[in-house]
Amino acid sequence: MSDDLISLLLSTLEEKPDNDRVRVQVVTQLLKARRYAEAVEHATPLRVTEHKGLAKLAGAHLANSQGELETARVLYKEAITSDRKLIDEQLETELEGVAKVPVSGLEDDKREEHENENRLRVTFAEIGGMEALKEKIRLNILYPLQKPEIYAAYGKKIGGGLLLYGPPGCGKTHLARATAGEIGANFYLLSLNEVLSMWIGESEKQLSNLFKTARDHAPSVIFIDEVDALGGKRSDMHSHHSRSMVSQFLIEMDGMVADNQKVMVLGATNMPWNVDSALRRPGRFDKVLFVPPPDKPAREQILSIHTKGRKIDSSVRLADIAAKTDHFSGADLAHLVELATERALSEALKSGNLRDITNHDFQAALKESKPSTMEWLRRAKNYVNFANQDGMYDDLDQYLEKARIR
Amino acid sequence: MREVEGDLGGESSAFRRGQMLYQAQHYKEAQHQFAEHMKEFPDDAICMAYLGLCLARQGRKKAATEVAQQAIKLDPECVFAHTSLATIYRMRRMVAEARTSVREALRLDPGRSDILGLSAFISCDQKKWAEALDLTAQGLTFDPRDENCLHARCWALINSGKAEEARGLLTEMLADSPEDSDAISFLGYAALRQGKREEALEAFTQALRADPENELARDGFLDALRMRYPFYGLIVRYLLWLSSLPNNIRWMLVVAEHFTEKFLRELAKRHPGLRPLISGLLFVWSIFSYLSFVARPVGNSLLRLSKYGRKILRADEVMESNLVSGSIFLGLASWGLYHYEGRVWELVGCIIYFTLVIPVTNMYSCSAGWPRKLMGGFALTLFTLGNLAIWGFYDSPLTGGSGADCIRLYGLLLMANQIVASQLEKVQAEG
Repeated sequence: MSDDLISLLLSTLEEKPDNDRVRVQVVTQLLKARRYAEAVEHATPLRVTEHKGLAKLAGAHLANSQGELETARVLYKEAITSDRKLIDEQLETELEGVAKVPVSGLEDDKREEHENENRLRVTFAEIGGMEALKEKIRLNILYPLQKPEIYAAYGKKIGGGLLLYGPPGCGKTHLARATAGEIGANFYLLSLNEVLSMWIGESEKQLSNLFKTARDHAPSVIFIDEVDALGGKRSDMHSHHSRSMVSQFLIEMDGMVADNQKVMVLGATNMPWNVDSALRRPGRFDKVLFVPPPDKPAREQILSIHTKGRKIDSSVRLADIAAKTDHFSGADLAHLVELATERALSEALKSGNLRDITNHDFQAALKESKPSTMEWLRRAKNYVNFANQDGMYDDLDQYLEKARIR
Repeated sequence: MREVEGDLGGESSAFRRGQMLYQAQHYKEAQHQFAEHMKEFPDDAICMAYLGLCLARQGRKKAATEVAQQAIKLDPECVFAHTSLATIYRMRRMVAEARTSVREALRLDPGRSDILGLSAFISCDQKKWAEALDLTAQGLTFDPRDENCLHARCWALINSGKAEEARGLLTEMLADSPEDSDAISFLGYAALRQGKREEALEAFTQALRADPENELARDGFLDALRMRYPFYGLIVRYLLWLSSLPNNIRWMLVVAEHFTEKFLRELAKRHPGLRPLISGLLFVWSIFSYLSFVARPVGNSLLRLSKYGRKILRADEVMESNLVSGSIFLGLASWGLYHYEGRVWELVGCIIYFTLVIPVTNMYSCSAGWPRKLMGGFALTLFTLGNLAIWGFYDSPLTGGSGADCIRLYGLLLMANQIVASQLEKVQAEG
């Protein structure tokens, strides 16, 4: 009976997503049915309404079901402070005796040390080219933090995360670091390996700790690499553990546990299509940016980095090589330099005479090299053609059109 | 098709990480984790089989086969190793070998619906529809909701002319999982078989929205788009019917066509009164046969005029349509010249250019890599030979008389091209 009622309510909510009364009913019924993750998901829009207490209660139930008793306790307290009618005796009993959430943060001197370690000095000035992309990041991330009053004057909401996507090896992590450097924020990187370690260990707790540390050391940027591994489609996930991990991630991102002001969450992925759509709702990764393969100035800069310290003939013009390496990723360019070097090196080994790496070596290396990004771009084209109803891939579409990629 | 799932291998965090990465389609990283696990558990057949699957997903199918075979050597009783090998063989279009592997898996564990579903898919690959239906019926007795069995059953039903029954089954499946891209595609194919173009188009659009990388849906979508052109609808249905026939039946049809043609010509000789009717019939039939070769690439050329079609076609489809259209254009030009001037070389040119379409379409029906390159070389040889034949028939003192030899050789090679193509179509180039 309960399931039927929930289905009915859900279909009504689908027709009238703005109807808070129906949403409250849905969340209440889902909580009764112990479908906590769904309850949290549907309760998210209620956070900015008079029913925000219910949203917190849903979060408390979910945290409790996942053994995150400290989080559950905080959320429950906030819920009943907001609305006394939400007192849940059963939950209260389950949470009884749980220790209070420890006050986070380090001592002042340790805190300073921590911040110095994590604060980055790399900025946009050190990334050649990619001006359009940098400007988009400025508009979406930097200016809202630097000039909030202007955004407020235009009624533009501030906050939410940014999802960077694009072919592998095109500098998404570097861009994220530079973004943190521009803000002067602490940078916390969560790599794929760390995400995986979380799956195996006490995942929810570790994730919660990461967000807590970032909040304590705000302004900070949490960068999650390969976010699809963490926030993959829950329907594709086989284990309950994976699903609850994603739910915890959503709770943290939504700032249900604590205020996420001045904490920016950046995510990067090569497979944006595998990221759960729940992660792209307002307040989460609601801004999505395509990071294309480096443009010509960026390629020239990458080439100059990789040729630094090598015996390069004066006739070699990196700008010319950059012009011939459309769609090459940073990794492809590094490989190109390696190939040219190997040519010169093998001749030197044969003849015993050291010679510089010439333009001829680069031309030969170019013949052997192909951009590795093409496969990704062709694959991504399918998503542009058939799954771009929400405009998520508009910038990718423009890139593909311009580059005439089939 | 959903992959047959593996059991838990030896306990290690690397193995569990590997499984998670594999599920998340991070195959390269998964491979590293499985390799890490193998250092600790070198005899773990399940992990070895996963390693094979990782390699296959990265396009290294030959190496993947060897690794999966190695997994079987480690534990000949490991069902997952056998199903993995079958899956890899399927990816390589080595259907007979896939069949052997899946049979072994079924011998070891006859009660697994997902393996029966995989086996049914292999029967579908071999166009053995009745067998596929039997296997899925068995599988569904073990698990009435098994995705593999349901999918294979629907595909077999559609191809054995039971589109309506398939639609019923698909509607039930979609009520449970409305985002099932394969099921929606099958619905599109069922509609296509019944000539319901708009319905098919809608289904394929929906399937592609759910999974933009679904090749089955994409091909169906293009077929449905092309169907708006005259005659194409009829040809699509003919081609779909033809593709549903097992290879041996298709060859028998070719032979039957040949003898029917001979019989009709003989009949026309003996009964001159029937000649106009028989000639008309033979003409219509030859046009239809020819169109079955050119319809797809010519349809693609027309699709390039539409905004949507232009976006969807792949680079190789565009190239094929260019070559086919160019060849047809030259054939028409030669035909026009022949009517105007009446010279033999112009008629020969017309025949050569119209028939060159066949090696070109054969080339693109083979998978990219060495099979397509080989067929490309074959097509180029025919193109050269054909032009030599045209030149041979041109009134020139240098080559006069050699045209007839060239055209004979051209004809022979054209037939050989068909035979080679029919074999190479089944081959998947190695990564």
